[in-house]
Amino acid sequence: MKRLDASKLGVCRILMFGFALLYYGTQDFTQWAHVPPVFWRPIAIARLLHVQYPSSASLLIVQWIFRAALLLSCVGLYTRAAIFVAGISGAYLIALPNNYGNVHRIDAAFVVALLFMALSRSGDAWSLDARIGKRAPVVWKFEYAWPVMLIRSLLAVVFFAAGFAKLRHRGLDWITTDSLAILLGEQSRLLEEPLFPAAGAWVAGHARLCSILAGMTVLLEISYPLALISKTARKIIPAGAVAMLISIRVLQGPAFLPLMALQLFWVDWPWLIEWISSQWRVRHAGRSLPRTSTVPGM
Amino acid sequence: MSILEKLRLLAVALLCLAYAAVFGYGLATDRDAGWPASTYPMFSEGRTHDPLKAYRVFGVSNRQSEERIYTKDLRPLDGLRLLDGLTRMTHHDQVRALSFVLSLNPRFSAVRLYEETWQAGGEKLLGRELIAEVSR
Repeated sequence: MKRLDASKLGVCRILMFGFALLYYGTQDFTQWAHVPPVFWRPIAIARLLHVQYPSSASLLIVQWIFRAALLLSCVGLYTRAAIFVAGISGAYLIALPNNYGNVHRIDAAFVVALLFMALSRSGDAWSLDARIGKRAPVVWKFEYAWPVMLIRSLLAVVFFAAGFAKLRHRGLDWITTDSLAILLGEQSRLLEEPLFPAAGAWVAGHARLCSILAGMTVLLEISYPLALISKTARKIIPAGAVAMLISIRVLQGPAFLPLMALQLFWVDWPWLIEWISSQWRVRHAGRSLPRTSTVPGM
Repeated sequence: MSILEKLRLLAVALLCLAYAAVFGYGLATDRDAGWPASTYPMFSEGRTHDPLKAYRVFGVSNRQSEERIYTKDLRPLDGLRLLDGLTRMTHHDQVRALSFVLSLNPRFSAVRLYEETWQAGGEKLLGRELIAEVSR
């Protein structure tokens, strides 16, 4: 059987669980047990699974299990069990705040991606498990490709849906009128907390600029699925999406960090790592060569 | 391939199907069918020149001046969760929610909930109505 390359998935596992450890692992979810029940408004999936209002003790236990599982998943020790536990406990903890007052879509895609990774064999490379020296497993030929493909497809669906919703609800008016300028002004001044409210208010004061930004946003969102089939689009669209999400944070408020982190699944990590190490080797070899000097007149 | 491996791949297929079904339903019916299979409709309605009506919460300092309450004053809640939650509550529950906000912010002597009306774009306040107030 042809040996399959698990390295791309392995690097993605390290980055994804490393991000989750830094972003979610440092949050204190036990605080949600102290929010008054008047805010408790379970989302559909919580009602379906009969999720109850949490206690501080139970959240503390789940939180530490989640943190430990994230760490093990990141370094790749007992990986298959760790990523599964991280997926389940993470889905619960990340979903929890959405039962209080308002549903944030910031991490919805990340949770689905986490569940895909929880069912993957992402620990077969770039892990302590692999280093400890088990034999390469015999696996299905798409085993290391499907998690990456599914997460890329998930991103394509998410961005396309966002662009489609804008065209469906407002049509080209979303771009050609001062709709975004008004929205941006209200978001930056009254409703949200952007990084630079003054910048948001300034952009909102320039209707033409807002129309250009609106057009670029819709174009980027609608064309995102092209990244699945075109190598050229793959070089532009995910990077454009990251730039757009940063702009939203700076000018408007919401921080789509988990959605930004998922864009890492577009990078060809084995190629990039090989390129960096070859550059390093060339530079290192250049330095270690004996220096030759010429003496004038000889 | 072992039975466990087959079950794992079956779970992946079921997860994909469930996501596609919920997401597809949301897309077809133009209703956000639910987290995490959201269809991301936020901001899609855009805005018109109609005035904006919104709830806003302010803390009252000892010198009786009002300060906007930010997310950093509401942990683990945030501004959106607080305001969206308040719009769906009865007056009695709004008072309980504001008492919680006051308990998080000892520097305030009271917390007030207003319904404000702003000119489109948020540059000019057109009017405000006090909905609830909680003090120490």
